[in-house]
Amino acid sequence: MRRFIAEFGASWNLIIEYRVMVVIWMLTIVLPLIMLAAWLSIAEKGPVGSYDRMTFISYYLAALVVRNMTGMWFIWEMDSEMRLGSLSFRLLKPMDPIVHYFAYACSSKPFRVFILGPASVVALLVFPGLNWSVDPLSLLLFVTSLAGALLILFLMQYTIGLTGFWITRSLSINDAWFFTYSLASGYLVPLDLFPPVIRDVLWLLPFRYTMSFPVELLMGRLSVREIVIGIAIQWIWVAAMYALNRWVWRRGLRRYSAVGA
Amino acid sequence: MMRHLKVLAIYYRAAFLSQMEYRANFASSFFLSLMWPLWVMSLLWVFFYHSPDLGGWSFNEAMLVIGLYDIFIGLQETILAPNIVQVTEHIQKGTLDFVLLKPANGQVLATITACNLMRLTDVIVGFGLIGAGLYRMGRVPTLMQFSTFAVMIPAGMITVYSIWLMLTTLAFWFVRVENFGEVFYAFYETGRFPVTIYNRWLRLVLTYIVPIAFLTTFPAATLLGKLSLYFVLASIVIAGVLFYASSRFWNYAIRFYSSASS
Repeated sequence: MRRFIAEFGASWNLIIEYRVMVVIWMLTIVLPLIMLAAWLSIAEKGPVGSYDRMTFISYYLAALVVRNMTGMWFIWEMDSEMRLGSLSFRLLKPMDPIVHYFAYACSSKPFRVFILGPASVVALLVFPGLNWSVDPLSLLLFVTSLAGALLILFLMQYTIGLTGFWITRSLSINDAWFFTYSLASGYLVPLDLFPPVIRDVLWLLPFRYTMSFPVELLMGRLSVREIVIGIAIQWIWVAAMYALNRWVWRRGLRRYSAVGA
Repeated sequence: MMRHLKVLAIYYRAAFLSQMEYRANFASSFFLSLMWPLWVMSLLWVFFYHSPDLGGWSFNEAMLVIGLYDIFIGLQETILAPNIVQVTEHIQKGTLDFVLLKPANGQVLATITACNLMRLTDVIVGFGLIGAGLYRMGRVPTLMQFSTFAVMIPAGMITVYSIWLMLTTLAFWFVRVENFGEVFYAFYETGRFPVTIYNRWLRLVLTYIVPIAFLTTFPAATLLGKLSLYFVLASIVIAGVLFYASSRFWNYAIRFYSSASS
């Protein structure tokens, strides 16, 4: 934990130095807004399923919040460290590199809360019909679900990054991952709007628990029972992903030293 | 003019020869080029599961817009992006004189000589999508529709070039110009779907201020005979004005350049 705090502090200083860039990165997440525009033009003629225009606005603004709070981009750093060999220096330290990368992935989050908080208040004022549940209990559950989502995403990304031990193009795998994540998590399309058969399949995958679940929770579309079950499933996925990650890590490390690095 | 074309041909030939050494990359680049259109088409498919049209466009018609988006992204990544990276580096490190001292137009040398041929795969896939969309509709564009399309593509390319040149030129004053690029990319994303889905204000912005509509929606519309000739002419005017303005801006900015040794 102390190590995590130290690593976090180091990355946090970087974030403060590049705060303007963080704001620009936040502003350039436009895909959900483009999807929102498309749905709004379709919903002009009447609601789509259980979604009317205001529901779409609530959904995609919530998706933007969740994306900002759970998105991470450390895999590019990881890729260059593995290819250029600076990972060897990390391995010399008496600390598992996962701590460093996790701290690095989390470091911009407090800053993002600082921007998103006021922005959400403005959104609630501009759209009085925005149906977000903002009572203390719902917010607490929302933050809990964000933590689970963040952990699942981190472990997925870190495992993909580790494939760099075997292949040089782990970033292409990451592209394919984003392809799946953006469609299957509810980031770009609310899962309810898929044909029922596809939706049922997507519910079985971990992706729903990284985006759609927190969003639906914030929108008050879930009962207490569904929320408790959802959070439990999130942690089952975290455990499964962690086990997979450790297995890949051990095998990869053996291979890395075999090359003679 | 001829001399510059010859110079460019030499640069591109050299790039072609060096990149042919990495033929395997070409295959994986092709795979990725196929993946993203498939991704947008799945989004389209969900829209059309709920609605017979999207902003007045059918599924097959919207395929043309997606194709054009890929063509422009591909062209941009092939012959613009590598130069932007290069010229910003030159400006930041103070090594632009090596380019400017060469006996040819500095703007040509600095802004269009580098290229990354791998990304031509996007252009190929883009034209493929347009062909597939037309085929599925059973439409053959008339000669007139085809020629207006053939005019709008280069006009759009000049427009994109000019916008990038202006953004890059800002590097003479600001260090981190990549950020401006990020913002432009964000606008670019809106070009994936027909511009008619956006509300009136955004539509005006995307037509006249950041002319993304002239890159994807309008060329697709002209190929389908849905565009008035006024917009075809406008695309030429916009390209001309932006090109003139950006070249002037570049030549003005270059006076503020100081090299590392001077």
